[in-house]
This record gives sequence, C-alpha cells and structure tokens, in this order.
Amino acid sequence: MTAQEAQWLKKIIAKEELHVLFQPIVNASQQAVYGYEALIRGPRTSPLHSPLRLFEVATQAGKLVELDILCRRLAIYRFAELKQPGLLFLNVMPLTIVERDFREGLTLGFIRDSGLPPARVVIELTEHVPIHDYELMRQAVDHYRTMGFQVALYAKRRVSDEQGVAAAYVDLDNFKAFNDAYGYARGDHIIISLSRLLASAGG
Amino acid sequence: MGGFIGHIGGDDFMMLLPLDHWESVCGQILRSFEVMAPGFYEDADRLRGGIQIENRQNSITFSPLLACRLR
Repeated sequence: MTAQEAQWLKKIIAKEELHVLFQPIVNASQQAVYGYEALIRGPRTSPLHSPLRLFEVATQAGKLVELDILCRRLAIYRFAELKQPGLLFLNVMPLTIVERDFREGLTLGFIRDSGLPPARVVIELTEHVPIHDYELMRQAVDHYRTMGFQVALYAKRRVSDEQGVAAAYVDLDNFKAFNDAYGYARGDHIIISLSRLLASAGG
Repeated sequence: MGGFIGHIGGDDFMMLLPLDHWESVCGQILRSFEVMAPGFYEDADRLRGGIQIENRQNSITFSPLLACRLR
C-alpha cells in the first residue's frame, strides 16, 4: 500500500465516494433475470477503482469491516432508489458479520430505512476471507434467516469424475460496446437469450 | 444433455458437460449464436456489420457484432 493509496482510501470512506453497479443474475433454468448483484467501484480517477485493489488496501489499513459496511449501505439505498425489480444479492464478508453486524444488526437497519422488504435481499457469504469458525458462521446464518433474509453460502461444487466432465467458460466478444450503444435493458435481453441457448444445448 | 450451466454474472457463464458430448454441444452453441447475433441489432448496424462508437476524443472506433467465445 502506497501513501497515496492510503490517502485515497481515507477520502473514499470519509466522503463515501463509491459507485454501485448492478449486474443481472439469470436463472439458467427459467431464463429470466431474477435479481441483481451489487458490485462496488472506487472513483474512476483513483488507484482504487478496482474493487480488488480497494479491498486489499482496506485490509492493510485495518479498514476492511468499515469499508464492507459502507459498501452494503450504499448498495441497499441505491437499489431501493432505482426501484429495481427482483432480488438484491449482497456480497458480505463473514468477518464483518462476526465483528459488527452480528451484534449491531446494521444490515437490517439499512434495509428498514430503504423500505426494501428483507425477503428481497439475498446475503451472499463470500469466501475472500476464509471461514475458520464454523460454529459462529452457522449462528450468523441463522441470525440473518431469523431476520427474514435469504442466505446463500458458496460451497465449492464437487463434480463427480466418474464419467468425465469438461468445463467450458462462455463469454461474449463486443458485449460492452453493445451495452454502451443500445443500453442495459437490451444487454440483459442478450444475456437471457444466451442462457436459453446454453440451457437448450447443454443443460 | 445432462450438463450443468452456471451464470457467473454479466456475460460470463460456465458449463460442465459430459465428456462424450462436449464437442457437439460447443459446436452447436457457436453456430446458433452466430445465427442469432445479427438479430440483436438495428438494421443500420447489422448492414455495417457492427457498431460505430464516437469516443471522448471525437474519433470513431468500430466494434464488430457480438460473438460467443468458449474456452
């Protein structure tokens, strides 16, 4: 972490200079957008534009939990403000839950303020920070569920190699230009068409 | 085909396919998308074979039609 990056981080947190993007999540079997994942970006002109670097620097500066809570608050308010349909997927670090949210119920407070029903919010527990304390995690998951949230825990999916499986990554060339020219609604339509094609060919 | 399709987000997907079928499935996806892609565009862009974009320096760059990529 450079001195310049540390300065930027301080400013970003103090002035809440973060930008929230919503990426559509498609249900591959029903081929429809059923929610949006909130993604965070630092200021475009800063060395912390990339969320990876932003969170790295925050970790080194001991501000990880503070940044995570700020990101969550901004994402919830922005989602409510845009009146987006469907579910809101929030990436939450287990560390934050254990240190702050578990005691203080911050997420529920933000959601009440925003007017979103908790049932439309899915808490995704990310694996950026490894989960060591399984008992505490289980309590945290129960805690969120009791408050009415949906909780998604990402376990690495094990695939049987009995018959042999090939993995393929699919993406689109020139998709950014299409989105820029035709707008996100038509971009989402492309994603749904693609998921329909993949499901009919290989699902 | 008994495969698994996962949406990673945006235009990123992942597929797990049975080894016996993966080549035919991939071929079918690439051919089908190539047929579908022009239909997503307005006539002018379709005839031109892509989109012309004016950037901040007022120069025009060209982006060809959408193409599906498998890795």
